[in-house]
Amino acid sequence: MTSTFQGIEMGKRAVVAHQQAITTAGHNLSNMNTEGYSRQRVDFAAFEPIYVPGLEREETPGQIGQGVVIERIMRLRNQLLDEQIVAQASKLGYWEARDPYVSLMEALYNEVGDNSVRGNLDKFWDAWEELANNPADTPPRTAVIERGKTLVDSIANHFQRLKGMQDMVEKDIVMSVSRVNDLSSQIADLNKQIQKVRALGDHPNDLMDRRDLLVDKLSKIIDVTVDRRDPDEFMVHTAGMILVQGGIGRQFNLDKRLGDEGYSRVFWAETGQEINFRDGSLKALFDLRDITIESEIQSLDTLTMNFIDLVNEVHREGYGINGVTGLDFFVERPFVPNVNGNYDRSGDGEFDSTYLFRMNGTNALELNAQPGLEGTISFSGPDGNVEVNYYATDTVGEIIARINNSGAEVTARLNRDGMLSLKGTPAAGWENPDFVIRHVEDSGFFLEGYAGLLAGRGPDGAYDWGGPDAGAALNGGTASFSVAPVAHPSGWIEVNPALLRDVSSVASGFGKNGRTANPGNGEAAMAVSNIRYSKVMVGKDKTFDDYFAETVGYIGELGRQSREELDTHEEKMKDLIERRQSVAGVNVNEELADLLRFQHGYNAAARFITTVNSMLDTLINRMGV
Amino acid sequence: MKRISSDMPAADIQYRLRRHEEKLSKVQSQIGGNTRIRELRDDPMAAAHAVRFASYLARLDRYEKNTQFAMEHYNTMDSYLQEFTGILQRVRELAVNGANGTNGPEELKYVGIEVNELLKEMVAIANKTGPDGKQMFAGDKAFTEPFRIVEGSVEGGGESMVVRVEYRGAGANRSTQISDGTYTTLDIGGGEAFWAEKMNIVSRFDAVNYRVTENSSIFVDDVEIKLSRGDTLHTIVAKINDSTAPVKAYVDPETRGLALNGTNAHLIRLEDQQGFSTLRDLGLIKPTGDPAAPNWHETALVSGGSAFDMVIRLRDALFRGDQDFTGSQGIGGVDLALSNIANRLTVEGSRHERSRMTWARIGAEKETAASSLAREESVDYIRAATDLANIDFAYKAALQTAAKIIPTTLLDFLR
Repeated sequence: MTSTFQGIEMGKRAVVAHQQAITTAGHNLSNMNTEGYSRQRVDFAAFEPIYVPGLEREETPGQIGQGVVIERIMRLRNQLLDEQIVAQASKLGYWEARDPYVSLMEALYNEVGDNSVRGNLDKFWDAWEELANNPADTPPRTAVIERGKTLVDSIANHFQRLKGMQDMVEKDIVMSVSRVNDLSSQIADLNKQIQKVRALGDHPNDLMDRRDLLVDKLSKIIDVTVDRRDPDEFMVHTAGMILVQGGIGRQFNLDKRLGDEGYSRVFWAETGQEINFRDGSLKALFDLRDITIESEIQSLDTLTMNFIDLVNEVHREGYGINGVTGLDFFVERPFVPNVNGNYDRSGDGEFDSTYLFRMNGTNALELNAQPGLEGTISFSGPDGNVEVNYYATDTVGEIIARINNSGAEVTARLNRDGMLSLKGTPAAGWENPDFVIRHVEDSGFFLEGYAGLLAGRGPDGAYDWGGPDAGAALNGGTASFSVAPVAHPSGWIEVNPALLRDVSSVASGFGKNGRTANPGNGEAAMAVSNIRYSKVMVGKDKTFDDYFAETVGYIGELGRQSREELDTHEEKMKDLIERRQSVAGVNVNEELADLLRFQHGYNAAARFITTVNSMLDTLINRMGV
Repeated sequence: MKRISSDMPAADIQYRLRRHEEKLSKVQSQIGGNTRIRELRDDPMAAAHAVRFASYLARLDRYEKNTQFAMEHYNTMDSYLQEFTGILQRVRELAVNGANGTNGPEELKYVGIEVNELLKEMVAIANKTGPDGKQMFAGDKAFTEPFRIVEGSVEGGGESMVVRVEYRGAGANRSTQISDGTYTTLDIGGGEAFWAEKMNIVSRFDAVNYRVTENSSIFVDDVEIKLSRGDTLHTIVAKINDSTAPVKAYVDPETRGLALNGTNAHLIRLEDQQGFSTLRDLGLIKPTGDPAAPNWHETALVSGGSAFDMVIRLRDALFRGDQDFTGSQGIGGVDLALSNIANRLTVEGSRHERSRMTWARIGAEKETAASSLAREESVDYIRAATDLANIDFAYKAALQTAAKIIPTTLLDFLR
């Protein structure tokens, strides 16, 4: 037999359930602009009907419905989409972090303007031409010096800005790493809370929204994958390791190593293992710092190094109007101080290597001559030595072209006097110093007897940097080589102070037959100005024009790529977010309609209670017992 | 059916509007700055080309200046040489008039005095400096007067007369660059312009058994000739003849020594490499610290004089009252000087012409390069304006739609 007040109880349940539903709709509407919020839905269910089969079961047709109850409050979310977004976010994060820096570099390299390194270099060459026309005068000499200074300033400024950018990236890296550490602990904390709520059988919707939001943020910085297979142990993986495991949030450490120019790398705090990310803004920052900006600094160094070496080579031979000769036009402070190029690389107080940037042969060669020799030359390359074969049918020009195209970290050309000149280029790896020729060997007679560069043939006659006084393997002695820089040349060059003290020492003419140059001789100045279009091998580029066009084109291409990638990934991300919002986002119309629906439900339930109430009133008060 | 959440239209419109604004601002700043390449990424290839063109233009500018510099130099030189020619012709006129057979020795002497004055004027012209204050005919010896007067007494003329004019300048060493790797020689040295006869230097040293003892060089008219150990006299002769020096070498059959013969009228300048003495040993030059000519060996037979020598010879004949010599060799010598200077003027004229043509060509090239540069980096206004109109239209349309759609919800219809 059912209770007299059964109806009231059932009505109360309905009222409470609908009130809860209305509150949830209100919660949804209130959070329609909350980042990461997903809409919640109340699941109504019919309350357990009576009677359950058993001995106490009443003999009456059943079952009798007992009204409504709220079974659970769910959040609506598509986990598959979430995972796609996490994967996509790291790609977007990469390009978002990279684009502004690339844009900065473009501004730096916008050489189209007048006050650029290229513009100043053009003006510098022009000053030498003017001196070539008026070699006996002082004003063109002052112009050469002043333009030289402006050029050096603009190169140094360029270098400072690139270096400043690298330092800025380093700061960003430090901040990003501490942000990752922070997110990792926050996610771990949330995991603990979620686990507690779960244990009570509830759905921690808002906490989970918060956790998903944090994962989204984390996935922009580093490439992560999320593992939800165990509902009690939510895991975040990165770089093949577990970053967050339930309540444990692992941390990263920053540390510096020798030879990294004071820049830090990331390690796992627990194991000390180095981490290499695949994507995300942190990876972008590392790429920028260690590859993109670093290679631009190297490229600027290449320009500077070759430029000052070429100008100095001519200038040393020329005479000023005061008869002074043998002066360098540019000097760089931290060059290897030892004239033999001996350098203490390990810092243990003993010379252990030889740092040579350029080595010249002693015989004048002709580009079109056929040496008729055969053999194999090997040079230091990015990964071990690079071999260059030459055959009896090759001309000198062909052998030189082959050396330059071999991928070795050495370039070759014939200098003004026709001597074979080998120059070092920046090294690809951190472990090798820039602009140092590390190995030269020839199995045949080309480098030895023909060019007069090496003193011997084969492995015994090879030049190798791994020891002091390696210059002894060269044929020409100290006059035939120049030493390498130990710091970035672009940041540390200046016009020779000896020239600033006496402008008339600026060389303009070549002496003849061992005599000082005549005052009206402008041949040296002309030779300097000819460097501008000669094939002098600025690193891998043939001429200075090639160098600038190549650099500008390259940076522009980086920018174009960066913009296109960013556009693509933004578009993709926007699409994914839209899909997610399509499931999880709050729709006002929907919620308002729900609100009406639940209000009606509430009203109906209230009406039902009133009806039952008046029934009871009839029963109790009107029966007239 | 795709479900649209309430924040989606707003986010979408924001995204699109941001895009439109970015495009708008790009076109606006392109037009405002008149540069198509606002950032290198806008067109990397064009930026790379523009850099090349800009450098190329800077170079052309320089070559234009250099050709102008050369032309001015030639103009000055031309006027000096013309002036010199005028005086020589005046000398010739005087000599022809003097030698017509009607004049006595006294009258010839007066002619001689006038010629002497003209001679001084000739030396003055040869020692003139250009507008920049540098010597015109001394090669690259910018501050050395190329011709030095040696005075002495002359029979019939008296004391302190010009008896010899010596060349102290250098060879034609100055040049200027008029395009990549192409030069034009600026100078005509005094030893070339003001010469009259082809020079002949014959050594009296029998050198048939001579051998070069060490690898060394000799310089003939500033051209370095490399000699190797063991070279014989004939090898030296062959090497000199193979060089670019305007000199023909031979072994004199009489003295059996080295002999040099100028292939045109000019001063032959000879020099040994420092520390070596090949030419001295061959008896061509004397040991002297000053390599400037004349440094011929005292015993060598030297013939072939300058325009000044010709005029001096003529003047002396006039002083002597020697009508026959004046009429024959005297005038003949002046004619040689005139014909040489005419040759040199032709050379100078053709250099001038070449510079002028290069100058004109550079002008045209500059125009082409400038228009290429403009094509790479300047705005195509028609395109930019159309783009601007298009983007502006799309932008406004997006704004209008946003304004109409976003605010409407069910709330607007609920009481």
